[in-house]
Amino acid sequence: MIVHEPLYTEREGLIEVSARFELSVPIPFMPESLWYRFPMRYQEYLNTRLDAFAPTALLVAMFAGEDIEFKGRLSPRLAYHLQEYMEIFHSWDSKLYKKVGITYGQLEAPVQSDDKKMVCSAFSGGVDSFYTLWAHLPQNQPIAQAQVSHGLFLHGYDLRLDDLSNFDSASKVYAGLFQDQGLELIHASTNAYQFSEFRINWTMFHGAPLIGAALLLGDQMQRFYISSSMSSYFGLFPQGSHPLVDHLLSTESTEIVHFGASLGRYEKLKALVSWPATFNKIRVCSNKLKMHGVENCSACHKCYRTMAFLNLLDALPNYRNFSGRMRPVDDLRWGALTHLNPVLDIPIRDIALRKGRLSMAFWMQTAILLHYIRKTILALVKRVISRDLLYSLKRRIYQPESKQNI
Amino acid sequence: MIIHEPEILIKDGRAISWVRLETSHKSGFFPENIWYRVAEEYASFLGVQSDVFLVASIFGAMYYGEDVWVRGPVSPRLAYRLDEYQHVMNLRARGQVKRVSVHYDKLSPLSAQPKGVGTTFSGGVDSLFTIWSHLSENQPDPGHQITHGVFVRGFDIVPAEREKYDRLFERFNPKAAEIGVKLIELETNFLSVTHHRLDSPSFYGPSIVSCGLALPNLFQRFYTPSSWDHRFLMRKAYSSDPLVDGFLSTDTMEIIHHGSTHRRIEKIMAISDWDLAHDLLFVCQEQKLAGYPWNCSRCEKCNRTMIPLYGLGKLEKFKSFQKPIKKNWQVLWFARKFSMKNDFVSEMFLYLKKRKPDVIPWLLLTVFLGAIRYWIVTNLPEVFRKLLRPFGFYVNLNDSPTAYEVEEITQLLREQNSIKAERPVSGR
Repeated sequence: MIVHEPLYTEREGLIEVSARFELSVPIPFMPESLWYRFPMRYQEYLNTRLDAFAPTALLVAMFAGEDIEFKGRLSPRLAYHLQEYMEIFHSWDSKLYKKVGITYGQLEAPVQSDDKKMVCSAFSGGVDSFYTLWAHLPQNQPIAQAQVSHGLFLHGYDLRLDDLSNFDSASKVYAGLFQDQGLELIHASTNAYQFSEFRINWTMFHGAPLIGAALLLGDQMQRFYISSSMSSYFGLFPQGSHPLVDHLLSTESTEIVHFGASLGRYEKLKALVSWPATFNKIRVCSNKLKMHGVENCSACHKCYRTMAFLNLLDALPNYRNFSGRMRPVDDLRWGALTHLNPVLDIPIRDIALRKGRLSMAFWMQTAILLHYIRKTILALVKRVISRDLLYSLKRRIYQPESKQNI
Repeated sequence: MIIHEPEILIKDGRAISWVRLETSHKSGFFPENIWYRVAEEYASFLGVQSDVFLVASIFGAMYYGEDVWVRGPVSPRLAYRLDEYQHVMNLRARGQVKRVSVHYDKLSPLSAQPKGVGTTFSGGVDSLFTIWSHLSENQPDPGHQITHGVFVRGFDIVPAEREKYDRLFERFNPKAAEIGVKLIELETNFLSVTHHRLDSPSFYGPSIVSCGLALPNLFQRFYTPSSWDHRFLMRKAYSSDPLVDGFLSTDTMEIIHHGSTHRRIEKIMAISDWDLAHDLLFVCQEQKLAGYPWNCSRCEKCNRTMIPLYGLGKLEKFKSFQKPIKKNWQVLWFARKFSMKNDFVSEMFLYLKKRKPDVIPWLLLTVFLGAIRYWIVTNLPEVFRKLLRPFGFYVNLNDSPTAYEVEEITQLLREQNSIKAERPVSGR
């Protein structure tokens, strides 16, 4: 696979930076180029280096099993660590991510300007990113160099590219929140998801495109926080954004920091529920069709998990963007029909037990059991069908984004 | 615990970077000072940042659960990540160390812009592999090519083994120079902080990192050679690994844990055609070093290095083994010192199955006999161990609590401290 030099284009009042990924054997429905779009006012900060595209391109090449060649300028530090980045993903899932050869064009360190302004945090409105923001506000972070100045809200990351109304309404709310804190929220978008759609689980892919957006602003960005969704360093599980891999994507001018792996969601929410800025604004929903701006569907696995934690903290009434409906039948639905994650959700049962909420603990446990039954059935089904058949089935069942050629 | 302002002392052609430590815990031996000594020609590479001393002493503070006050300047980047570092270490070694608060008098990065790239060097497989990987022919970016190696006295070679250290250095130094790597002798007492308190494999990480941090004006990048690969690290965590070493980076020095992308056997294969490794490889665990060839060929580490080289058909090139394996049955020597503590043998089986399958039956027999021996040795009652000690068994050179101290330096720094105490205090 050849990764070509990035190009600038103006598109609908936005500046687009894109790099073409030339696969020797093209993969159906996979876009030809990875692009990022920023508002025009950031034009002077954007660079045309390959740093932003290299990590995502490497994952695509590993998936395709093709050697990769970068035809453009790449940070020597990033280039050095890409080898390790590849080895780690390969050791996590050697069938999905194959080892490939890497060839670099031009190794050149990015300019380290003295007037760098940005210490930026990835922000989506979820528990993890709200906690990262809170922890790096001047009142909570004594080290001046670590205090956050900007947020980055990336469209196409957890919200579909065609879902403009949700992105617009959420970004308005969050831009106001950042302004109130004396900070700036940068809006950007990307088509990165389309490279992984139905092929690679997004959670095994998502770190590289997000960090890529930050590296495009590398000339101005001295540090970029990516919020951890791990709940403890003990239970680290393979994921596209991980304390072991994120920092490997740092360049000479931008340090990537994976933040928050030392705390679980409960601890993070415990800190956040006493920060009024989060009231009615935490947005965790994974149901792209049922969410409305910062209004959560309250039925998907993420909504339900967050509601359960808020319930345990007696803070649910402050978050009216959740329905607050938590009946036993909803618990069972959560286990049987959604993507309940035992690593993240078993703590709910444990905390409920500790707090003496026995009924809640019982229903949570039942939901976890249902999850394992569902998981076993799905694993059996996946074993008998091929990867290509699974892909085409998913395209029929769900609404694909990649065909739309946005 | 108070970590006072660092100082540099030059005496008798040597430069010492040192700091006074104050702790409220007086039980057992605890070092009064932490120091790093290099030849005077490297004095300008030492610095008055407190980063190195904070890193070297953090486990002492965590062991006692004492908050730390650092008087000298500390890198903001290190200060930011140190809390996370403590968190991970506390999780991994629950009950042995606690998280403590660190209070900084000054947070400021080093003003210098160092250009050197270094690594610790002991002559072993891991450090040779790290150097080999960063030679100009294997590493295209000059900013990642190794310029300096640090050969430490006070880590796997205790201060009492002066002669052994000198002999190794005499041979290492010119060879390193041939490949453009300057070898620096570094003596230190950093292990006194954890010695007899915390077990070395779980807590040696910061000590290795501190060898780089001790030379802040020299290194922009410092590699810590990995002992374990990623597959192994997914099952078991160590104090030096790709996750935590980087937390100890400063604003001017990037700490890189290098080599966990490769299994030990892959590293051996990588360096098996390298002339320098043929001559220098030093893996022996025997305390006595008779001379060259210096690998006894009988200890556990010698054997687990020799067997893959034998399988590769390249053992005869490695001149540093006294009694290299020449026939398959000689693999049985491994049984005499076979250890089940670390599993290096499974990867050996995988590799030999492809390369030299006729040695597999012998290796199986070795493992069988070695496992029985290992079980007996590790479960031998103390009374028998005592009886065996006069014959050199169950004896360690580092048994003494002050094994990592050098009397001459202890006295010298005591004098310095008493001179300072007599000086009238001005200002605060």
